[in-house]
Amino acid sequence: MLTIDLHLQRPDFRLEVREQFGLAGITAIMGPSGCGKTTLLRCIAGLEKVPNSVIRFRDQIWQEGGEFLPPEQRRVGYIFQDGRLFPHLSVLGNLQYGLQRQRRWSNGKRALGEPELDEPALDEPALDEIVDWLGIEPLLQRSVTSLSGGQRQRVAIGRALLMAPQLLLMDEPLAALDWAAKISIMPRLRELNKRFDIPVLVVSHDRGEMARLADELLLMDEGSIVERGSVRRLLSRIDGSQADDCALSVLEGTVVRSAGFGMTELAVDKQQLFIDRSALEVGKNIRVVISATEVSIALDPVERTSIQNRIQTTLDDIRDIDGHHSLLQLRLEEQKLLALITRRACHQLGLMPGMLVYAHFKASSLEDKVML
Amino acid sequence: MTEGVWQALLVTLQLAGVTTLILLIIGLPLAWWLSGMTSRIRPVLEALVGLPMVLPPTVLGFYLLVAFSPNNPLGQFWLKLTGSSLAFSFHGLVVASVIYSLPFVVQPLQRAFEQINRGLLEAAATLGAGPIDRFVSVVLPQTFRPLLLAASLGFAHTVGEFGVVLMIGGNIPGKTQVLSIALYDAVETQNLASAHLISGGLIGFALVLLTGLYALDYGPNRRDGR
Repeated sequence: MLTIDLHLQRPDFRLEVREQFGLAGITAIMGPSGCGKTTLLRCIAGLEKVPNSVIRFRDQIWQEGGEFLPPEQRRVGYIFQDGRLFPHLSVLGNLQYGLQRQRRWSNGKRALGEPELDEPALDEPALDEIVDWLGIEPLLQRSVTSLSGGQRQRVAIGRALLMAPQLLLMDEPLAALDWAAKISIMPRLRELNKRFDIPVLVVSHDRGEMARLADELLLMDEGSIVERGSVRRLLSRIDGSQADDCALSVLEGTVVRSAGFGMTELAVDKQQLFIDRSALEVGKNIRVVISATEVSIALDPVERTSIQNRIQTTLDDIRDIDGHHSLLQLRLEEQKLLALITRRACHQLGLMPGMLVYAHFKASSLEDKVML
Repeated sequence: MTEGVWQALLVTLQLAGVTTLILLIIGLPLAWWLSGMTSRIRPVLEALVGLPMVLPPTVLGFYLLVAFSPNNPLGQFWLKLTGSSLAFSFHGLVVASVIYSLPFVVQPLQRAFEQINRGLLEAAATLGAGPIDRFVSVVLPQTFRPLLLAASLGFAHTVGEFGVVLMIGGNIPGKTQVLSIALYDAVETQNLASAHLISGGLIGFALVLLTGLYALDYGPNRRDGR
């Protein structure tokens, strides 16, 4: 449990957050740039000190009244957008930096300026395990200046994990990466939370990333938290701040069987959904992110079409977006799906709330399927 | 007479060595403090540190002489502490040299520290490093060359001082007579052999030191990213 009570008032900036985080899974804080999400994260890490604030983590007081625990004593892993690897150390040196200090800490000797380490060999299994998991073994002796963006971020993640954090904070961990690097790191970030059992707070402005990564979502605007809820619920809402022409929805399903041709059949609210991925374990939960622009609407069941996914839904709500487009909220049984169509199409089909419609989308448009 | 030159050389080296050591001890935290300072008094402090660079050394020497006098608190304090006067002593020379050479150590260090990415220090803090640990493990390794430069400049500048020493050190062979004063003496007394020895030696020393420094700064194994 993380309790935050922050009040910051500057002429050009305001931060007003009073929130409790259960810290199960990955919690995302999303919002436009300048909304204060990074400042919030920095306050939690102790990198910024806002007077008259309260920050408590589990039974520890990080800030309250005159008390302020400095960042080096909070044991919070922080992944910065730019990695912030130490240029004078090798990849291995970077990985060991937090590990060594962590060990001194647990030995009861506070690190006070003695850089020489008197402890014996490293905790090899932990280091090996994380190096292996991140796939950075070949990089260990390299200088960090020669790494690519994705490699840097992996080393940064490893470095933070090796100091055995009680909480992991990530500030736009994927923003500086190209698409390929994102794809390779994203599953690791999801897995990290499960495998190492560390609560994660991640800040981002990219809803596509967060739809894939996060469990809980907090939407921030102008210094305060305006909405809070599960990713699935919050992103697929038609009346929320995320309902625009970039809207997307998150569906969760269970693997039913392999459908041949490298496809897999999922059950989503008892309906069939096909994804273009194979070798998935039956019974596993899968999250599928569908962009609203990829979804088209039919009033009758269409059998002879190449489109693999034809889901029967109820049209819940229609909202005009920009004069040209309508955003439709479609309900399966419980889960919701957004579709973006033109107003002309909406008019031609005579769409009205309460109608039964078929949502069509191609299996290949689901560029991302994340394991849960 | 050349024996006097060797004596002066010994005094000079001792003075420069002790001064450099003290300057590093004072200069490192001072430069670090200044480099991270955002207060409006920063320029004033920088001006104070830089003052010896522009003042005639004799001005500094004059005030130090006044301060060292047993009629003044500093002089009095020293007299009580050690039983001897600061003026015309080796210790007095050290105090003067530290003030006189301070900007030559603090300024390069401060410039170097300003180049350090403060974000790295934040990263180090979240990884469990306290303030001194951060300085030793993140700042110093990245400022090794500027540190060497600062120490060398402090040393060389102390070797080269004349005016301040003349004002407060007197000219006591084996005690306060440094090379530059010995040279002045030698010329005054028409001892050209000694004068040549000292002058030539100092030029050689300065040339070797500076060449070494420049070689270090532009050497082939200069670190990446700077």
